[in-house]
Amino acid sequence: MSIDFKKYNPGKGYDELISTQGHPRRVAHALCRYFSSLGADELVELDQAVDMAIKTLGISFTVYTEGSNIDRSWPLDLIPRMVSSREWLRTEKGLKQRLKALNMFIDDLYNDQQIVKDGVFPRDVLDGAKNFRKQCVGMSPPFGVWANICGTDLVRGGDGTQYVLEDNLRVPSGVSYMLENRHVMKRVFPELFQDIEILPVDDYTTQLFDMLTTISPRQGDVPEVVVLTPGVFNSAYFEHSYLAQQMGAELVQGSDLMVDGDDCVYMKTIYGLKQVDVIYRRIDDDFIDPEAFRKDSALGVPGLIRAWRAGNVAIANAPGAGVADDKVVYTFVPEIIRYYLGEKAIIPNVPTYLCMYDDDRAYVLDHLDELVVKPANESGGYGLLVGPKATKKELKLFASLIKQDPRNYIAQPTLNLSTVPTLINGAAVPRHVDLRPFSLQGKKSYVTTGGLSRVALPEGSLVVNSSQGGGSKDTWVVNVGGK
Amino acid sequence: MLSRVAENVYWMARYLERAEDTARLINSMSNLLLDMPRDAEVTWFELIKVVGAEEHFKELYHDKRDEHSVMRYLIADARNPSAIIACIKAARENARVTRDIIPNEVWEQANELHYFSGEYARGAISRRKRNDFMSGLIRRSQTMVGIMMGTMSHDAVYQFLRIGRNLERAEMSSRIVDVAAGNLLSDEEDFNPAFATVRWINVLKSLNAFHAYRLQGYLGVNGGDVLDYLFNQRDFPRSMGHCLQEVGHCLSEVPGSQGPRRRLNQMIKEIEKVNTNRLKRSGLRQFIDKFQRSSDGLHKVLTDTYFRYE
Repeated sequence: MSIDFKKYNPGKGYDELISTQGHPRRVAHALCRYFSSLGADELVELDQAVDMAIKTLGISFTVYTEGSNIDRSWPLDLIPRMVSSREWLRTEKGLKQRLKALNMFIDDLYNDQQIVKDGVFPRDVLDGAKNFRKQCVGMSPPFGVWANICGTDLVRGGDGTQYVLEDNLRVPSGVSYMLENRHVMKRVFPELFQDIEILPVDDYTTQLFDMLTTISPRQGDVPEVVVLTPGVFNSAYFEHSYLAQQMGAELVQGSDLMVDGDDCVYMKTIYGLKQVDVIYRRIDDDFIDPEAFRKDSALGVPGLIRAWRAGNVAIANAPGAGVADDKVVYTFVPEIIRYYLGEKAIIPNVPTYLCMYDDDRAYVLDHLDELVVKPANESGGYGLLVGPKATKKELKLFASLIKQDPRNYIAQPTLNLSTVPTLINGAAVPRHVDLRPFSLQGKKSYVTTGGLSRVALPEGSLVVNSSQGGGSKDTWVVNVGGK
Repeated sequence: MLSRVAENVYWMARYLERAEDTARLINSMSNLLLDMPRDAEVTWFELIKVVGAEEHFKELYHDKRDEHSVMRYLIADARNPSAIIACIKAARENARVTRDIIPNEVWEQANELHYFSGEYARGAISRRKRNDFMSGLIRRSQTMVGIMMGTMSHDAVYQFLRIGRNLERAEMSSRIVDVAAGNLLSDEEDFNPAFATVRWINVLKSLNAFHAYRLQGYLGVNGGDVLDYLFNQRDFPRSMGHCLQEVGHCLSEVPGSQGPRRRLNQMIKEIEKVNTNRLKRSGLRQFIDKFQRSSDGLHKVLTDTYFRYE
């Protein structure tokens, strides 16, 4: 059975490729023509070619519940998600604006707290922020930038409006999968890359490395940049080693580093100790330095925060940056943008109810079965309630959780996320997607062209996280030309 | 180069070599047994002795010593850390944690090897597909080594790879000589074992040395010459002497190697001293035991010098 896009029913929501049954959007014309021309055998062959490429390239991810099985092949769907370059320009602008404002906000919180004094950001929200680190007060990293790397989750609602769903400012992951997805697609569909003008994504790691060198405290010299990983059992280990390799940086674990009496950071090499200038860390604040944070952490480097505060090493993202990666703080981002930049947010937030406010909480508890409830400080889709799909027992559990700790919960209307045709058992059917582009900020700002599209594979599911069984798609930002 | 990375590439090379050597060993044994009469004293269980796993094998298989059990243990039993599939997995895990250092193509080949052994190892327990699997594995392992030679810069990382490979190979060669030749020697005078020539040829073959030995122009195939060749022939890449010499070259390319080199030179002297023409069974056993202890000792010195920097 080949793919017949005339029979593809995009349903009531917004589909990224097909506007109404039988009518592909302009960005997807060439793609749909190509897929329709394939016979069933060719489709199976291509699907196998993708699988094979992923295995040979060793693209894998980890699911924590699988015990010793530390890697699974990465799921990539054959059909890409398409975005027009014109739309992307606007998204890119919106992401740069957002990250710039967020960094000014974090810098302000750890220094003068002017935004609190001016009554724009409530004191009690700040006081309840788990990720506010008092160890960081008074610091200001290079260029006043705390979150050098940000992964923003974008979604599109049923009416086609694009929203920011989450800002990931701690240790966002997924960028290597975006790069590898493209690598695989280029291997498998070389002819499509000839016919369609797809903008490249390859320069991310170069941009990342350049950004990291600009924040080195030892300017003038070639800085020693390292990627700090919790180790091979971390779910994002594949990405850590991938990025280190692509940047030509050492991939280190906490035990490979030490802080000496001079408050400088060194790595242990076969030649002896070697000073480290920039650490791209992929370990959470909590575990990064047992001297400053959790004492039981075996992953971190004792004294790292001391070295950082002394100005002897740069850490990206800076410790404490996670304060803005809080779903309650998220609600205030449009205000934050207006306050620091005097601009209106280019990409809006999803309307959000804060359970800490009495009115909002009353509404949320009344409408639990319609809403999505999220804890303020979790990531990876853990601890989430999708009201319309929840059992009575789960609804009850969340009602009591919210009452116990209202500051820790927010709720949003259940968005009918946009869909993209996805190959399931040989047929193209609509599945919900989100999009995670990655932004960098050092001396300059940079946004990836497109991002990682994640897709919820079960019919009707809205949970796209790969740790929860989601799949992925390559994201093609294409020049369609004309008006 | 990080100390941890040095250790990982060293182990990656050792495991890869171990898998390949085991495959070669199984191939040559399969060949030999086809030539032997049914009641010959040579059995599959010899292989378990070669890899020094009698106790562990007995724990898992009790009194069984048949071909199927031995093959399963050496090829596809995940409980055996030196089974081919376990070695390939360990080599790949070590490659994974050094992916930032090794070229992509090496990593891709490690994956290819891993999927190959995962898919076909069980089938190779039975005779019919065994040879195909072993040849496929050896070819893939050689491909990986070739890619490393041809694409990596020959820096410290590369030296640790070579050290791991050669040390493992020297040890494997010594084990093979120990068991294969041990049965062919005796402490009694005028000992003349059955099928001696075929079996000495097989000793050479299990190290892929038969052809090279022939080209070298020895007159016949006799114990003294074969042992001399496998101990000391510096030109042959699987002789113990050659492997040690290679380790020596590598050590001269990495910093602070006085300690390991001293230990290595002792080993080289010991092996040069042996008079293979007059070697009896007990003498061989003593020598090989000592060689393996020295090899362990060298491994420990390497560990202390490079891998455990504190």
